[in-house]
Amino acid sequence: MTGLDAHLVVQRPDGFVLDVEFAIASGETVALLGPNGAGKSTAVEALAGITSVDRGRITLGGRQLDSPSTNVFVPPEQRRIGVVFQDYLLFEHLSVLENVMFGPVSLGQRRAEAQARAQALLERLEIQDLADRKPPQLSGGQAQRVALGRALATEPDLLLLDEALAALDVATRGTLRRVLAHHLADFAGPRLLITHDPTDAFLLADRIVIIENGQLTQVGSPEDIRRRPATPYVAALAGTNLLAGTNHGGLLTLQHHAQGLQTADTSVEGSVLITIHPTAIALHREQPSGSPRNTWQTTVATVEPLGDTTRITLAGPIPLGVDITPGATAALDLRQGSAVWASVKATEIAVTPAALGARTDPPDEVGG
Amino acid sequence: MRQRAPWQLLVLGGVGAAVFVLPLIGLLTRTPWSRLGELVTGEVVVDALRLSLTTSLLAAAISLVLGVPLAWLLARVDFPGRSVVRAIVTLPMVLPPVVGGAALLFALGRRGVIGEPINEATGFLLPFSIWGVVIANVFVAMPFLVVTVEGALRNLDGRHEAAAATLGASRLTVFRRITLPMIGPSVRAGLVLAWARALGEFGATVTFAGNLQGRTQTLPLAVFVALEQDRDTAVAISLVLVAVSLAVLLLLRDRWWSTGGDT
Repeated sequence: MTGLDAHLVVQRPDGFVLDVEFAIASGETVALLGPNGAGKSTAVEALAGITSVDRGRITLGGRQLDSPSTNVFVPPEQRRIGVVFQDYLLFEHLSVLENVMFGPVSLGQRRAEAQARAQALLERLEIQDLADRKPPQLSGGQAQRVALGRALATEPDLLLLDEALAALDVATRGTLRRVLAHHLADFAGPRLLITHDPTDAFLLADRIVIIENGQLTQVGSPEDIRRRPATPYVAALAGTNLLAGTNHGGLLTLQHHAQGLQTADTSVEGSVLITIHPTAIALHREQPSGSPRNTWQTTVATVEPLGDTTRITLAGPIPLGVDITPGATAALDLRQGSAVWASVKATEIAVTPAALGARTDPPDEVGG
Repeated sequence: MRQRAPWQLLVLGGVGAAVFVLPLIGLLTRTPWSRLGELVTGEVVVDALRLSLTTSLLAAAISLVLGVPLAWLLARVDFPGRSVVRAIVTLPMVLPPVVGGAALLFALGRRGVIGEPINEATGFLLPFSIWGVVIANVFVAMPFLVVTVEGALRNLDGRHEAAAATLGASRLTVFRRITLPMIGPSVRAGLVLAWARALGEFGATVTFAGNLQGRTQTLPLAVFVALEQDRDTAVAISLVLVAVSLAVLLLLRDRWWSTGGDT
């Protein structure tokens, strides 16, 4: 057992309760993804040992770190968890090299050895030229690498990155995400990424754990989560359209819209969550002939370029997000207010039991 | 853009400054300039100056060594009776120093609760010794350092200390290598305040340590005595005190003090 096994139950004084359980294998990157206020910071504090769990357990590499039932609590300085903090928390009175040496020296290593290790790390992170600088003289990206180096210098059993990219501007994020992915792959132990940004989670993680309001709502590979989002929040993250309704033999009645839909999936009856991927919806200027049964006329509400695709949102009867190529947008001459026909194949409409969605009454139309 | 100060503020602020400037002018007009060199090199003055510098610096150093940990305890450890302890620690700031001196005498004097056993065991007597002066100085000066440092510790964002802990640093290492450097400006400001208070200390010293030339007679005490007998000497000693204090304050203000308040 070399990975992390955690069940965190923390009751905050303000009444908020965090209750999540997950495991991370060695060499695996897991993203803990959730909106602000979901309890991510509380999870970081519990894992790092800054707060203790009220119930549950934390086991890392076979070592119990926190277990109220057996009265075990290992303080932060003995946990061997390398944390890259939000806004990095570099020590401003120490140079970059001294920041990276801090861990090894604190753990009792001789200064010369600690310095050699820190220098090797700086070289690996390609920031050896910054060794003598003080943190206020660093850019956001440089500070991030120093923070990563400082955490790695202790040779931790778990690497914990708390919103490691949140403090950077959009332009540098893309580059640094790739750099980070590269360095994450170098770390052999379990890696946990705490983030509110789905892009970070989808691009960096092998597995995503979603928390909302202190509770775990979905766990799966980025692909699973993109295909079958369990809650409106996840659907919105994945860009998927999520609707609520009921399924009767493939005939879908929507909860908030008059238009009906047909699905090929008849395995789930009754109350369902309906997901339609934005690329599965086709748009036409004329009514399509020999059409799929899910065809209706609507107007374009917004047109928004989104990287390689264009995101179109449709007005009623079913407000949906549609991704098509910029070429198609031009060919169809789509503008706000354009009249279009929308069509979806019945095989492209996925249904999941509503109970899995962890909501009794999911709010409708959260696509995009 | 330059703005003229409103005349109301100019007048009130000017009167405020005059409160401090006028006595200084008074002192300067009464200064016997022709005899000044001879007066300040007199045996009494030189003894008092040496004693004042020694005891105030010692008191500042002791305040630093004991006061910073005390401030840390008051700021960080939630022990029962903390607010009472904090009130007692700051009491010397509002108490008349004479009362403080008397209290020290009852505790550490020849017949004091602690003083008597010490005196019987070792023959050592704190009052009327240079250590008496130092203790009296610490008693009145340390609160200034404790209050300043505790305030800084309370305002300190503890997340850097938490980060240091995750890197394997023990509590003491975190305090030494992270906390102390981060509150450095406030510690220095508190140290200067404590030293300045110790240098000017009169009431507790004269009550607890007495007024023996060369042993416990500091500059303020020497001024008081001289005022009764020899006005010119009193003025000369006062001028020495003003010069030493002003020099230190001016020298340290730019380097230390300006950043002291905002950490």
